[in-house]
Amino acid sequence: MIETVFADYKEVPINSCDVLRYMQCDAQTNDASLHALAENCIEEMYPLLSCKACFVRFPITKLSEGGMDLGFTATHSKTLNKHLADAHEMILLAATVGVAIDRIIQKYSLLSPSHAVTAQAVGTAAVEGWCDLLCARFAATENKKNNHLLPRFSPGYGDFPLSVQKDIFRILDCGRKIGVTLTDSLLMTPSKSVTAVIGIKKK
Amino acid sequence: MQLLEKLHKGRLFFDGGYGTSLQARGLAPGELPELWNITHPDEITKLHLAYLEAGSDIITTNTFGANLLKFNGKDGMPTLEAVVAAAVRCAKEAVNLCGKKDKFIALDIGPSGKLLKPLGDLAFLDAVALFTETIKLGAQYGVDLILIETMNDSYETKAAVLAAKENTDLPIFVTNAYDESGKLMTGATPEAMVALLEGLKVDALGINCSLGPESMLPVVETLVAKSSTPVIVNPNAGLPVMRDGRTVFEVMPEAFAKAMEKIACAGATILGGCCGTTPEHIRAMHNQVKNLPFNEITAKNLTVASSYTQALYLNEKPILIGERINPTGKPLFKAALREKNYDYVLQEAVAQQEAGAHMLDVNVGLPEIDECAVLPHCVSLMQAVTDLPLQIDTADPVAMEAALRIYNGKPFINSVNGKQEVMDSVFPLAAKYGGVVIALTLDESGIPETADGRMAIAEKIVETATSYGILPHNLIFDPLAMTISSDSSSALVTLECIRRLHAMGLKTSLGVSNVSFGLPSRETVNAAFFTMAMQSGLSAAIMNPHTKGMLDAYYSFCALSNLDPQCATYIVYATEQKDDKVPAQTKTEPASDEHTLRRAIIKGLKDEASLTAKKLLAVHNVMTVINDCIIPALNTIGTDFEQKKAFLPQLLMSAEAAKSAFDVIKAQLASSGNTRAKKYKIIVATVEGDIHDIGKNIVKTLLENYDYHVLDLGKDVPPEAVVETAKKESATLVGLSALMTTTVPSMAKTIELLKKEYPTCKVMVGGAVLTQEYADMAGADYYAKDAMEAVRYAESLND
Repeated sequence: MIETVFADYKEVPINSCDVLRYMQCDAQTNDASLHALAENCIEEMYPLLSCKACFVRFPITKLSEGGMDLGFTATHSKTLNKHLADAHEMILLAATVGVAIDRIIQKYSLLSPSHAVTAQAVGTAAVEGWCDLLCARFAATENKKNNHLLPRFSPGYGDFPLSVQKDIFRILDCGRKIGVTLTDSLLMTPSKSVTAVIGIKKK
Repeated sequence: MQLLEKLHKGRLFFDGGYGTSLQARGLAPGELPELWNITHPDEITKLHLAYLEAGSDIITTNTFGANLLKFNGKDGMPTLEAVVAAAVRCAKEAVNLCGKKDKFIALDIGPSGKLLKPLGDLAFLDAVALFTETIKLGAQYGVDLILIETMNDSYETKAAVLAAKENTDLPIFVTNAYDESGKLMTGATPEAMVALLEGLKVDALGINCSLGPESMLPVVETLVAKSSTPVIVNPNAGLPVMRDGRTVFEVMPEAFAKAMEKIACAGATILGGCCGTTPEHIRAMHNQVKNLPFNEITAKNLTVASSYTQALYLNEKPILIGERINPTGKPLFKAALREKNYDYVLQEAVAQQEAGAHMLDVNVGLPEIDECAVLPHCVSLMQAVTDLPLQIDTADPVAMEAALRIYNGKPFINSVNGKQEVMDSVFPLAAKYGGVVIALTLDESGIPETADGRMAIAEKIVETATSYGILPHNLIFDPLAMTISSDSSSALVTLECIRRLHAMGLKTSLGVSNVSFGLPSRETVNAAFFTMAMQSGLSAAIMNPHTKGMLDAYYSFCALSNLDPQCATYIVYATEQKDDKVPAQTKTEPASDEHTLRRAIIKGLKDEASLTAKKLLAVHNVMTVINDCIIPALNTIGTDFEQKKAFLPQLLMSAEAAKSAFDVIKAQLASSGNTRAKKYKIIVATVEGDIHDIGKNIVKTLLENYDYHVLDLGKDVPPEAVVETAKKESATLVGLSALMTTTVPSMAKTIELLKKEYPTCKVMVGGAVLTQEYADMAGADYYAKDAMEAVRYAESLND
């Protein structure tokens, strides 16, 4: 069963050090103007977060010819095979912080490159923060079952092909459930969205 | 009885969910339900029939995802025609089997599965074309109405409605998916959607999917309060839950029926279900609701404009319409428009919103430009940076239609007047696309001198508009402010008209500042006249929101007229004014202006850079300021960045500060009739398929600071467009950006075409995933790993 969840933006922390890092700055910088840039963008964008996610669980089956069946697709990705080596099950996740964030990024992209770079960083920090929150919730549930959650693994990592996005979007019905769609070139819109495979293994 | 007749005489019932019901009948997860029209027609017909027997008056064809993107007759997929024909056949078969009269078949149109440009990759006009294909087929195979549903974006909704309007005469019903915040995914409130959809004259509107019936109630109440059109409510049966290893929905038929009774009492007149609802849900609801009294829908007569997020109502409190985006009397803006540089439009859109405008006028009429292309382009650009509703201002009906077509919302239309020819060209556009029309009280014989004369024209306009189906609440009268310097009684005539129009319940608007033309201290007169006009009942002022006197008058008037509860807005305004008067504290040691400008640029202080540049230009010539201050500062920060002593955002803040200094220089040159010579032309673009443009915009800003004439083609640009412009403009260099590995092939294609058609042009490339290796593979002349490298390469071509 596909589950859909939302969160209030206040539940999702945005760390200004993370934002500075995504701005390609030293997170320890003491340059006041950089801090002001980051903090102003966080203040503007934070209330606009619309955190939504949908996910479904699949058993993982090893295929006799190598590779694995993930329930929604079969993959021969070596990096993913290695990553999921001990996993018996997985969560297929799609998460987004919504289209209002893209509007701000687009606005600054047209008005001010320094703000655009910053807004982009705030968006990344937000969607990562949202995914971290989701994974913490998954981990708490799995912990009770004596299971352990592996780190997120997204299409495009290593040799896990981006083309698998099409299968993910078909299975999770992302457009209808959380308003995320795929362009012809496999970009996600809204852009601050994540899809990932999260392995589950016995402790 | 005809559907539209029934719609206004009583309650109607839709059917319930299909996808979920079909899954219960064996549809696999991820399998396309529309294929079942062909492979399992009996199951589809049975489900339709079950709904008809449960009390549904309208059944929807199983075509939610039926569009050319999915069903193209290739890759084992059937053609769209096969899917739609089979779907309509199943529905007709069910109606025949049911044997009852007055059952209707709705062609179901769901979202395209794509986000529209500029945030996504589907162009608005392509979306219209996509929906057109499905709708034409539905009409051809004999459906009774078009149901556009589950739309979570206002723009896509408009595209589908236009496709329906332009290709059928069938009734159009529209339901949107509002999320837990009570808005569409792309931000529109229910009020904004009512404005848009009533402007487009749909026959019924409402909400579906999204939430369970209980949680929908607040949105339903808003829709009913604002809409003069019947309201549809088709909720989910709550959220899916696992029970005994099966997916079921949490709201069972009885609870659903009780909740729908509340929704019916709230005033929704067309009821049904969405995901998780079954014929049992519809039967229970039908039994619960069918005997409730039916109240006729009342006309609300609201004067409202909207953007893609918000509705703006004209009530007692006047609104401010920013007039700054208009080339009249602005030589710099004129020059920029000719050069296709829209920075002024973007900056003014944001600046006027920040200054307190509620709506923005957009006028780009210049004899030398192609207004039919530029006006819609500027409208789109403005909608990318502001969520204020727009007033589209042009005398060219073709440009007006192009802009109205792509505007995301319901705009003001500026303008019509009493001339028959003008009314006959503008009113049909307003009737088709929706919009509130500004009506000037002048006609073939000019502007009448008396209030009676102007009122007579107003009455003629009301009459003609009504004959086009445009009711008086969609008109705003401008009785024309004329200067008192040539006729000292002219302001009184205008005010008299405002009073009389207001007394008739009509809305009014004025270009206030015309009143003082030819007088000294115009702002003093304008502000006084503005107050008098508001006191006479003025609904909207077209004005410059950067003028303090006008804002003082506006906020004081609202506070004094009990239009500003607790004077809250006035207090905020007055406090900000006070803050502005505090002189800026200079933290640094007194320094020469040359030093201050260099430092301001290096530190990225925009305001200080432009102020100091102004001071310097009073004593030095332009070249000294550029060569001794701006360029050395840019070089310092550029080198710091290359040596990793400064970070990217610092480089960019400096570039923006330099740009603000250059803007001062440009203004000075323009006032003396000069321009700054540019080095050569560079085209920049993000390649086709890629919708990221920050990197490209960074490069553009830096190159402009180094005096290049940069032509920005935007994002998702086809190879042909790059090559054509490069040739036409005799560009020396083309800069291409790509962010994703999936779009690198499109970059290679662009370079290949460019090398074939225009081999003398150099190409540099950059972007997140690019490497020297990719750049070589794509055939680029140069790979710039960051924006400074792009500048250095451009500079190297000067030698």
